[in-house]
Amino acid sequence: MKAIRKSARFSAIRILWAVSLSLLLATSLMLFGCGNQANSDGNSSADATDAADESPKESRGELRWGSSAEIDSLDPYLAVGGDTKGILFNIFEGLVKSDSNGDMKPALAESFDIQEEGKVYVLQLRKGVKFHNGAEVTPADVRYSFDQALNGSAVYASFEQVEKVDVSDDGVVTITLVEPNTEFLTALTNPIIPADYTDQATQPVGTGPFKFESYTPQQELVLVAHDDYWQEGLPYLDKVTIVYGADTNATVLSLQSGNIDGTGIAASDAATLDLSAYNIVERNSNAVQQLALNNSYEPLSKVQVRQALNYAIDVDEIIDKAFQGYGTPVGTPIIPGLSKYYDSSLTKAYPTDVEKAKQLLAEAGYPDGFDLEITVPSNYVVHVDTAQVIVNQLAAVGINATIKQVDWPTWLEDVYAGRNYQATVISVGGASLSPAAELARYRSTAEDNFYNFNSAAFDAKYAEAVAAIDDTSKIALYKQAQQIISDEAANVYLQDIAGLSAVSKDFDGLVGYPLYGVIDFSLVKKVS
Amino acid sequence: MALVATIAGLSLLSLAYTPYPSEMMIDKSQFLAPSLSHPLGTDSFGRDVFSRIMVGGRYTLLVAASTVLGSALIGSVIGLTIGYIGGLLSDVVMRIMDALSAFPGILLALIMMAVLPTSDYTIILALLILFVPGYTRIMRSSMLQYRNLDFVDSAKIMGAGSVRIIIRQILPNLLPVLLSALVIGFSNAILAEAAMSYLGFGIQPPAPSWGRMLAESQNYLFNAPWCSIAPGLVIITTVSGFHFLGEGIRKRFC
Amino acid sequence: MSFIVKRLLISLVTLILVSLLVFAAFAILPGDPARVILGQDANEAQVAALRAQLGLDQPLPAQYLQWLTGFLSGDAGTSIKYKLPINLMVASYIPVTATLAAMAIILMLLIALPTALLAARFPDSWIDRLISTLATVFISIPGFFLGVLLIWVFGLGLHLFVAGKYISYETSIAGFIVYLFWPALAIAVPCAGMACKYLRDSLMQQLTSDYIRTARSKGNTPGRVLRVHALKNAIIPAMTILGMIIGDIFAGSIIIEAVFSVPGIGRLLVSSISYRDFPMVQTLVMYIAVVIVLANTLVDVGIKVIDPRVRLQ
Repeated sequence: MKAIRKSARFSAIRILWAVSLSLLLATSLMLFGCGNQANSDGNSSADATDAADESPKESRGELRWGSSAEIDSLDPYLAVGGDTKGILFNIFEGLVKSDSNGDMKPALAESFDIQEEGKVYVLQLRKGVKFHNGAEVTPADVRYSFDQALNGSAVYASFEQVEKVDVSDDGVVTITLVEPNTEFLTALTNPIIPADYTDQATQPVGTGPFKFESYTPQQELVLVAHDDYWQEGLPYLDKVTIVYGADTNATVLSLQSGNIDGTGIAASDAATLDLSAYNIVERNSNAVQQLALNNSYEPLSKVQVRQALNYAIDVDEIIDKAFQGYGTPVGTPIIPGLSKYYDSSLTKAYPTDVEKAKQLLAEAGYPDGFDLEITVPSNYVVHVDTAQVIVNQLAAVGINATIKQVDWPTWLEDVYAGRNYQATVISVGGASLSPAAELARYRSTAEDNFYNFNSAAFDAKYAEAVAAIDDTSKIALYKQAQQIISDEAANVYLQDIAGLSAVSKDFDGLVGYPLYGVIDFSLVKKVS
Repeated sequence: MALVATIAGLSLLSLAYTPYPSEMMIDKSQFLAPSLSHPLGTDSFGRDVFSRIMVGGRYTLLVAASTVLGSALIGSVIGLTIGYIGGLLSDVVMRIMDALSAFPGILLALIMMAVLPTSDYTIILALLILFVPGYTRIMRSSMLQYRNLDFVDSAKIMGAGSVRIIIRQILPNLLPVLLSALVIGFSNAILAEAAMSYLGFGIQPPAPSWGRMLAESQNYLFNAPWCSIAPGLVIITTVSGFHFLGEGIRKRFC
Repeated sequence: MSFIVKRLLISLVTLILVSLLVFAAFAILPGDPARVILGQDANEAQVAALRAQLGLDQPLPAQYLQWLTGFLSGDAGTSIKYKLPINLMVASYIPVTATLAAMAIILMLLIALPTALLAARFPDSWIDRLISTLATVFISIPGFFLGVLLIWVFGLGLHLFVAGKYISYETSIAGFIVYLFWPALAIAVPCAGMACKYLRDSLMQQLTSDYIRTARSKGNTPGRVLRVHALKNAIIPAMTILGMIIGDIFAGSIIIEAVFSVPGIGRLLVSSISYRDFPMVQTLVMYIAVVIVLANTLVDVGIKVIDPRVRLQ
């Protein structure tokens, strides 16, 4: 009896050993298989696509693009994030479309005409354009699409200016605004989608150069060429796969391992990547990075204190230390991209001057400086890095600044909506690319005036500028409005951050767009 | 042991002296390879890595030590008590501990950040709460092993009080377990601080901590390896050093 | 048997407690998913409209009750972030993390068991010291540092795998398991170091006990004594550490999944928290809690089965 029990136990241990050994064997086999698997897998999938494409037409290749920002919706009338819109740019098109200079070009409209000094926009629908589902774009589709923009969509806020939209049966689109706005063309990029098609969120259908194939959250989004695309010869590629990584660290690793061909990178990556294998593409982010100040918080409510901060902070050093030299210094809320209205002279309004800063602080009653908490959204490494440089610079004038990192939802709720902060580093753009949109939040009554900026002179100047019809006086008024903001030192304006991408030298034609996160895959070519 | 002493010594020395101020961003000195003037090179801002490691040690060791000692103390008291008393109380407390250990650490850290004023102690408190269930569990299950052994029974018969039995009779037997759990906890605390600061919850920049230095520099491993290898090696040596130290102490006293 | 039933019933209380904790967390935390979705440029009217559309205009207790009733009846609702059914998403993410965790546990045992036995077989020899030193170094490596190192050395250096080229189990089970080998190794190594040391120490403790001396005096070989007698008793304390390690494996998988671009529960949880996706976070935490509670229960039951001296009640 005893012996039996003993041997039973003994064999239990034996089995454990045997299992362990066989598992060890299995894993080591896996290890070996791993190398082969990875190679053969890479080859076989490449072979498969080659074989599939050879018969109908010449293979034009696949681009694998890494991204750490997931799309928020595939439905273009629900999508809001810059990165999402940047991807959807390839699937959907509006009546007009931005080119790589930011100029509006006819797209699904073959022509446009601005009448009555910007009150009426008349466009002629292009004929023979096909949706990804094969159907032709009809005036009814245009009518339906504008209905989406006018009602219910939380995304197309600028359509509040529209009085009515008429679409005739022969494809003439007439848009009448409540009041003239010569910049409204930028809003007409709203996508044209098939009438009464309700599956956009899962199976989007547009007219863009690429059509949607599949989306697996946190893994990949696959786009394939739209063969009936209205622009002859485009796109150059057969397939674009957006590969999602958890963060830029993961996507940069993925890039270096050859799993992806290109991805957005940080400036420090640009300094450390092997530049013989990648091209670095630079574009503007079209938002102004700033040390935003709560103008109603005690020391910051004094204009001398805010000016002192402006003198204390050296933007060139920030760009040099935290951005490896990439970036455009800016001294106003308006981005350099809006070159007509942008006042470049304001960049030098507050040259770095430690003594002057100290003197201003003393005048304001803070000869020994003060404590300042800079709240920074932790998901934006660029802002955290910038804040680190700023902390050092402020220490030189006696201001004891500390960083408080919060997550993005907290930042939006507490800092942005709640205005419960002292200072924060953030990039600010406008709801649309226009001086009116970018300056609107400085009005003392604006609900998104999270700076608590309050200047009657600015309010008056802004109203005047928006109402102005004559282009030269409009430009002059907007520049005067910027001057008021600069004199008041509402915030410390830093730079238009350079958006950097690294692309394998096997690809050509990736250009930076002066629009949110647009990556125009239709112009990308594979070079052998 | 010498290594631990050196690292702790360097961290202490950093209170008085570092080759460069740890937050100073030296002009035109980004990504410098190790040299005589910068023994461990410079990082992406042009800051001296060696100086940052010295100062970082202060923060890192402070966080780890307070987390581990605090949570071990709380965990041991709870674990020993409920292990000795047993019954319903033990079950209830253990279920609460289970619930705590199933609760995501990030969420806990977020709550701490939202509720408490910003300070370096926020992260210590968050980690402390995260670490208590582990110690409670270890101490309780060890207690269960010894509770019903003969020597405890004989002590009971001799009329010793419960607290006295726990401290005098049982605790010495649990010391080896507690000690290795302490050492493991210490390394976990350093690593947890690193993970937390990776998500922005740890020691706030520009103050350095080894964990954040490591997290910040992982992309440069190939082209500027000194940025991440240096803090990585320091963490590994320190944690290993504490393990060996723990073993040494145990061999001597147990 | 009644003990196990009782344990399981009590475990339910734990789960309810966890969900209440998550509820409390969301009640305290600032942040509004509608605002996160719309970003900086939205106006208040748009935010309010979206809140209404997503059902976020209801008070949080109502949202909690809605989730709870749904979850109990088998439908966890719709993710606020992905706008997909949560059940469907979780069902495709769980196998990934479960496989990763299982592989990590297997790898851990494969490394820890033989080394611990070997070290205990020749105590204080150079083998013991070598194993002990290695185990200590293993424990001391930060998880994500190890992950990045593995990618650099084996991925970029030796080309044994392509970092980030995750293969879904729906595409190829073999490819899936092969890809998960490296992240599993990154999780397993520190745990193995811990398990090895712990097991060796308990083995050594057992070896000094009376019954071992008895077993030895009865003529058993040292190896046999070790494997048959000491291992059984040494496993008790080692099992409690296993419960802890399972917690570690989940914590580790959050970071390792990010480093290796593995779409698992950990990554989904982090991104859902940073979106304030309440029903999704609740559901994920429930599943994680079930695993941890089950692991702890199994450990307790296991201790009881192996060592009847431990009377848990």
